[in-house]
Amino acid sequence: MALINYASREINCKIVYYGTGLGGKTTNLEYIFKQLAPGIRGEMISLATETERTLFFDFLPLDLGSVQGFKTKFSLYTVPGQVEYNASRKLILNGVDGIVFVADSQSEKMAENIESMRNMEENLSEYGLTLESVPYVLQYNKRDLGNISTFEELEVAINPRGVSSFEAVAVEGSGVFATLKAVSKAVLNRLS
Amino acid sequence: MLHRGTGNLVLTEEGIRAINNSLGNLVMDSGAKAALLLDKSGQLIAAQGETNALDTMSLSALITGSFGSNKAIANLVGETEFRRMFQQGQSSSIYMAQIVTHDLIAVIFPNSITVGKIKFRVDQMLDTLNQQMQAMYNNTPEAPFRAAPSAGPKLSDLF
Repeated sequence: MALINYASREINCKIVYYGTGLGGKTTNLEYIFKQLAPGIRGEMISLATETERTLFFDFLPLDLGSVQGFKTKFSLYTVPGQVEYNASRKLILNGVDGIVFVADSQSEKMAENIESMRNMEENLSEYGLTLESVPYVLQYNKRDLGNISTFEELEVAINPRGVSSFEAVAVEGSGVFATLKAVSKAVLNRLS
Repeated sequence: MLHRGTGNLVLTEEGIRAINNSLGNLVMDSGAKAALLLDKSGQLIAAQGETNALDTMSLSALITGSFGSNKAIANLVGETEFRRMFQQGQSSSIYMAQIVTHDLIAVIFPNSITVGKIKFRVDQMLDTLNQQMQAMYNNTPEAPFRAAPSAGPKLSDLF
């Protein structure tokens, strides 16, 4: 649900990074924060535990500048991936305009990825949303590790709709901006 | 509960002017530092008062998250929700209230003013804000962008 202000000619959109615990959602935002100039991004806020696991959410505001005469701003959020924090995940999906589903490529995480995708669909349905109505892209993270599923295996398991998907090593930045760009375009296209 | 689904919230010039007037009056009448109106997804709709020194985007995200987590607390004690919240600081405090559309008003005020006065002024304003926001939700959304592909080059430049 984008907020379109015709008085100030401003558009605000909400993008949520969703996925399993320790999958790299926060790492994506940290990399974006480090790479972008302060004029484009605001301060990053992390509500995390002492061991740096996301407790509630991370938040990073981006100012994309003027797109067709509208000052366009994105708010990037992550959700806590741990199973027990579902109430927080549900809350953060409220008003979402676009989703990045960050999958952990490690073979042993496949079942968790599938469950997290199912959980995301269930939580979206609480707001009357489906994966057909909300633009989303997939990111297959941790491609640098040894024991990983192939790209094709991940596509079959969690991308039956064939949406845009990206291989990534978020800790090094690989694939991070390609993913952000894809979801941003999808969200802005939805406003056309 | 009001769900917006995929519908966008369109703020018209006339509508936002009316809301800014309401928030401005609230700040003036109560002596508060600032008043913010936030939508339930964490986006800032309008703000009046001394907002230049405030990171209003971050404030909006955190206040909305805080309200949401308190709803879970409410459920645990047998309430459906807490419609008001008050956070007291050493020199300033925040009073928050939910309106019918589930959007939030947050008033930041110095501790020289009592919370009772702020609560009274907010309560006086709630009906007006409810009507103004209901009118916003009844707007017919229109596409702000003429054509999809033209957003592409701008994004390529940025990232």
